[in-house]
Amino acid sequence: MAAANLPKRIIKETERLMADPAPGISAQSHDDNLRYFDVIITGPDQSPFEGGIFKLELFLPEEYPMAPPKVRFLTKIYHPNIDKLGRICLDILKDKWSPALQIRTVLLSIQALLSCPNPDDPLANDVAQHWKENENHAIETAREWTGKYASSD
Amino acid sequence: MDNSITDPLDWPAEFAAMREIDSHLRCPICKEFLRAAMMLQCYHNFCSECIRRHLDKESTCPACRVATSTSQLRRNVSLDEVSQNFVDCRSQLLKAVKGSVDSSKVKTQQLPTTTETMDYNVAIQQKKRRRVSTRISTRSTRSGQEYHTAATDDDIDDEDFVINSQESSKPINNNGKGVDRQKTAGPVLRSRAGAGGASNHSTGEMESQDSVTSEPPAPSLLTNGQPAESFKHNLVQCPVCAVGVPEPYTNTHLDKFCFQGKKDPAYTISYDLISTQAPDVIRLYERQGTTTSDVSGATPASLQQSKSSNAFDALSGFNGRSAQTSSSFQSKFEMPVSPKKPALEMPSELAFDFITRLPKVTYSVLNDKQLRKRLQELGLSTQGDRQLLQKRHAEYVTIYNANCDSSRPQPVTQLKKSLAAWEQAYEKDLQSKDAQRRAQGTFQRQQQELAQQQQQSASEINISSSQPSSQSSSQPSSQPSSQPSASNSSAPVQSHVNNSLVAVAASRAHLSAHAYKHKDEYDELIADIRRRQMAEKERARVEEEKKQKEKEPLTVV
Repeated sequence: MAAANLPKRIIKETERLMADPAPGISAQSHDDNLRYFDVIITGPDQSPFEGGIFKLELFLPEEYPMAPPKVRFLTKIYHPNIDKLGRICLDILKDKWSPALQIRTVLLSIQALLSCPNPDDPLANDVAQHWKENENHAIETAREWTGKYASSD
Repeated sequence: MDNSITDPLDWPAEFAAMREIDSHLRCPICKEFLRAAMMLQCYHNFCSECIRRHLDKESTCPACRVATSTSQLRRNVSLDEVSQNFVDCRSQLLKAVKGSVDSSKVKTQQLPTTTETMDYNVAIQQKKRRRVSTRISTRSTRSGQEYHTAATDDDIDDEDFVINSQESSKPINNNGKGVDRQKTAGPVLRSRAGAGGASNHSTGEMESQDSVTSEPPAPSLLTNGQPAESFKHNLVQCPVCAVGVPEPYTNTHLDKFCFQGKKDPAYTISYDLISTQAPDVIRLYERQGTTTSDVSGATPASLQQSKSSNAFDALSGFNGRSAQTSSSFQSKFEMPVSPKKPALEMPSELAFDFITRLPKVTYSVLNDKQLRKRLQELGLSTQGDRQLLQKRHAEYVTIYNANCDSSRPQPVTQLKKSLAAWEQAYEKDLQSKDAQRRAQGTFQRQQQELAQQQQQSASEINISSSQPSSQSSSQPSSQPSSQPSASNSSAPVQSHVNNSLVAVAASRAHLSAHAYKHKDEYDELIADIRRRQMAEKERARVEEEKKQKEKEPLTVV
């Protein structure tokens, strides 16, 4: 049912993600809803999220690619731009979306966001505050959370 | 274009350059090969339809975000040609490339000299011959002259691959000459392999064979196909629009079509005629003593004829392409050619329809009546509510203007068909959204219930968190190591919490029974619920920790 009017582009992207996955990123669409993806991003090296395995969900709205995909962290993460509901503050997921972007680039951007948190444009205010006041301690907390919630079991 | 899904990764890894070419000929928005390529001021290219759709919403380049607008769109004609020709020959090229990779692999394994590739070439040639012969069999109802038409068609269409096409036609004109065929067919394939930078063949051999191929075709081959051959030489460039026009048509072209717009149906007519009816027209032309009116009079008739007797060839004719770039690598044998189909009906309808693009409309300044009038002027339905009218108009303007940019434009009837298809999809979508919205209503209600239950369970957790053990027992999986005091759990509280969790689970199951059709919302909802549960637990845990910390210093001190 869902596949009947699924745009070619989505099928293409799905196949591409399977055939040629970006390093540290895997995305798999649900069988019963091809617009809904289970995503796993591994924490980038030399970041407080290193070694973590973060689950995300990604949904392609009807207007995609004219509208951005909806992405959200399912794994808890201590990050100034990700709130406790897992919502992500990333410009390309909002006003800076462009139809030339795709699932792969979005996920790579999220991975990059993990490498460089931006406390000046916060979504989780308390975390951002913590980050600004005592970055080392905040990074320590993030590392702790990574071990606690995003470890590989 | 066919329905199969193509991707740059279809090309073997050895041909990285082909992957690059493939991906650069695609629209960044729809990831298909460019259709009616349009360039913005920032030099980024998109399908006309895609970029128009995007610019309706936002006025930035999708690739670099530079501010732009529809008025800055320019046709990128040569890129469009490259893209279309690439699409035409892609499947064959891919076959050849893959074949050459395979054969070169075999070659390196088994170490024969050139026999492998020879065999491959023979196979390819045989395929081609088969294709040609099937084509000829479709013409069996027509006169014996058809053989020459087949041969000379190829000569005209495949100028860049003259040898290739002649090779394929050779078995028809004089059967045999197998050795020649092998020799000359080789370089075509191999030079393609070489383009990918991974050719395993010796370049010396290639060059020498290339020189064979670049020799002018032997005259003996062409003597039989004389009428069309002379026709080919009569192709002249229009001094005004620089399009290739058969000589007898120059005046017709100048009088009737050249000045009337960028889309030049005259040219298309002439090309359809070249590919289908060339000898007939020439004969007609010679017999009737060549006034332009005669020729133009003959045009619809021969088109009609081509419709009825030889539709396949007419379809695969080169509609709206310049003579200089008409190298299709014999695609006409294979391409399903759906986009080209309407070209047959084009002349009468297109001559005036596609001169100007439709202006964008600011719908907010139009009242319903004016909007209906606009739709009526375009010959569109005026049924439906205001929103549908607007969307219908906007969609039609988009596809109409995109069609204007196309070098293979479709007739208005076709556009209306695709508009109807769009409308069906749109209505379906609307209905499903309606259903979703209704379902969402029930969702919200259920969600509220669920939230209440959760609050209950959360408050229970909060209550129980006064006892250090209960909280860890309620979520043993999420925090395996957090609480040292987990061992002495109090059973009643735990069961209580578990009960409420069971209730949540039950209502969740209830939900899923209702909601299996609306997976997205359901999943989102469940995720939300899980998250909230986690948050509650987390809060409980934090409080727990606080309390412990308060206790701990005491005990330590």
